[in-house]
Amino acid sequence: MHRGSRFAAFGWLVLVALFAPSVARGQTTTTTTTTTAGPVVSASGAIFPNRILPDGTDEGVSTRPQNLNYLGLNYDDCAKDMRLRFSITISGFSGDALEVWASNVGDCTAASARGVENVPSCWELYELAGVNSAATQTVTIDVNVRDIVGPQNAVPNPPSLSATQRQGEGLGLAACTTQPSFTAVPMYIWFMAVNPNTAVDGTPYEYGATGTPFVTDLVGPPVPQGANEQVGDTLFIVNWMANVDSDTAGYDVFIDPPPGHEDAGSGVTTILYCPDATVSSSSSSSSSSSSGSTSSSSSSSGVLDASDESDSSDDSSDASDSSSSSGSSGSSSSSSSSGSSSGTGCRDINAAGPTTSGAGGTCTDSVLSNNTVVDSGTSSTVITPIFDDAGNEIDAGVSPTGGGLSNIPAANLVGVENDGVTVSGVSVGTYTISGLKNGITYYVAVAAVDGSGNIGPASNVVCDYPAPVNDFWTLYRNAGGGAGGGFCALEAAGEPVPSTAGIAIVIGATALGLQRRRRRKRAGRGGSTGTLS
Amino acid sequence: MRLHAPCVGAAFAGVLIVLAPVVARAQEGAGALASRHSEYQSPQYFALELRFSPYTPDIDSDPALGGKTPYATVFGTSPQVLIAMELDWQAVRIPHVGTLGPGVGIGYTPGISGNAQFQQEHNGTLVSGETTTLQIFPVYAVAVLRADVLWRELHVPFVPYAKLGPAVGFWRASNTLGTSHAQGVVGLGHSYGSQVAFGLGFNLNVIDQYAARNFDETLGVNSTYIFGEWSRTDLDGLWFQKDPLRVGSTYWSFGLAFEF
Repeated sequence: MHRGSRFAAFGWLVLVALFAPSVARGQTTTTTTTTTAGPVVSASGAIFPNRILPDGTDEGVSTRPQNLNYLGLNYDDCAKDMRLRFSITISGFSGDALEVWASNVGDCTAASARGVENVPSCWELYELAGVNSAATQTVTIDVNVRDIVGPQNAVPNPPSLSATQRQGEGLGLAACTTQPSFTAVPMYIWFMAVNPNTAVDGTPYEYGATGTPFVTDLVGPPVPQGANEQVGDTLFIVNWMANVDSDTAGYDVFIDPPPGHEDAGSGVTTILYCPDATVSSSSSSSSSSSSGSTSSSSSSSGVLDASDESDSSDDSSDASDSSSSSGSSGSSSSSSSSGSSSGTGCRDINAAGPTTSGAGGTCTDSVLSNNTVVDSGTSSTVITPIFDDAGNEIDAGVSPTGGGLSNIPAANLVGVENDGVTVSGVSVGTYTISGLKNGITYYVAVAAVDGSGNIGPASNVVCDYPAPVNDFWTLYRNAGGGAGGGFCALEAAGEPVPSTAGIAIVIGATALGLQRRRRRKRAGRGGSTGTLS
Repeated sequence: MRLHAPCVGAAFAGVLIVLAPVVARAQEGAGALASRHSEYQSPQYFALELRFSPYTPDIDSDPALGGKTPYATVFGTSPQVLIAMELDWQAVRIPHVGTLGPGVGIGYTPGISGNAQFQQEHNGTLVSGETTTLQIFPVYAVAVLRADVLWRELHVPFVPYAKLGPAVGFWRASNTLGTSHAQGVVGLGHSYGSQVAFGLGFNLNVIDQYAARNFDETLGVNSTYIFGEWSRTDLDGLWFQKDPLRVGSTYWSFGLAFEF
């Protein structure tokens, strides 16, 4: 027993020796935790900042559709000199400065990242020195978008913007053109308490971290190549080679003059067109009538009999009908009449198709041309054009080498859908603009749009004028064909026979067969083909 | 284009030469294999046909058009493709003849499309960029007689058949913006008529009876055929419809048929 007591005491000593360092470390840890409990910075309420224009207008958390980099920044945000209004909660401050820093590489809590004895990778956006606020309080901080995006490729050293810049004046418009390509850049904004020794105290708040991605995209996609147009009755079918870059999310199609505003447009000279009558020199005399006007001298432009007049007015209504019908890849506007009709069934139409570009040609239009505001290397390279049997160049794709931005007036944009672009999808290279007026020359250009809503440089401008056409149905009816009118059209044709007779025959035969089969099954004869005896 | 009789004869002879050994082998094994197959074959009620046909609607033959050819003007004279399927119920078996029963079929012409024409020359052409299309859905109900006696009793793998019944063709004329309108009339409607067809099926079971038996045991398909068929879909409105769009045609079809 006595010997056993000695063993027990020795065992206790070993245990104490083993655990002593751990206990000591535990005490140190506890002490450290107590020391680091200090200022806390966090988001207050809604995480995402509101967007404030220079005139004080609050545009909410975004001005774009949900699918277009809704919470990030694009060129338009920067060009508008927008501010982001953060609502930040702070507590536990005892003389620390509340500083706001931005970075496109990540962490700004290390002093070295903020330029302390090092080349900075962060730049300061805002500073509120000597904050003494042990209790919780909310601080509203406006950060200029240009200050966020401007220094991303050349971080200032020292990394503090000037006082006037930080107080709202911000960097100039040049800050909006600092991204070298169309590749979007993730950004991070740090809100933190910095003590006089430049160390970060307590718990900072990072905006742009996981859960709150914050992407800046200031450059639009490359130029769509090979734009051309096909002409129809009150419509254009615009085609281009689809981009193959990683930035393009869709396309915007622009037109001048916008449908419905032709009178204020290009002032095209028109002459009268009469179906089944050759436009002769006499029609030139009527070209003095101004664009869109109604001429009373139209009867001189061709010999028209009553049926011609009837056909013409019908054709005109056809065009109107077709304009209002559904089924196109995207109607740009409400229908408009097919040109300016004269009282005798003739229409105004362009004399010789002034400045038409034809397939792949170009036109000059002041509204659609020369609107590139940023060119980040838009010389996309066409990859091996392919031609169809008719010699038309078809989609071969482009190899993008850069992007850019254009600034065509929104009034010339057609067919914007809920997703914010005219044509959704990078691989789509066609769009139908309807609701145009026959005989009026329109200029059209296409620009690619990225996932942030940046509109890239516009394509070559093409121009032409819509003209009346005869589709199969018109030719058939004009030739004397009497069919049509819908699936219940027999009454309209003057034969009040039930129009569903044919369908009834088919359904009746089927039902008869099924009934007979059921009878056979009930009779226990199912399982083999019946036999006539 | 007419085929010369000698050419047709030579082609037919060629087919016979190719098929003769196959038929001979089938007959050799018929005693054992065919009887074994018949032991295992599942009940047979229906036939399903999948077919493809060159199709040119008779629209321009309408006397009301006065010789004008709106269809050919826009869509050309080359045949379009008709894709169709037909389901037959082999309701009764006539001893030493074959099966008789009703069938229904539906087809679709997916590719009748062309460019609308400018009313006057535009940039040196009359061809506009606007698309004009005609969709046709021929539907018919027919009585079908399949004379499979040659196959069932003589083990000759040819099955002639005939079909006859009423038909209706649903159609829609459209352009780039949707359904066409002209003279206030919408380009949408249907035309009544009749369907008659004669065809010859070649039973593929003769090529590999083991595979045929497996096909029957796993999916219940008793026989598989390739077939050629002459059809006349005459959608002229019969006696009661005024001014139908004559979307019917006379055409050859080729396809696969399954009896199950």
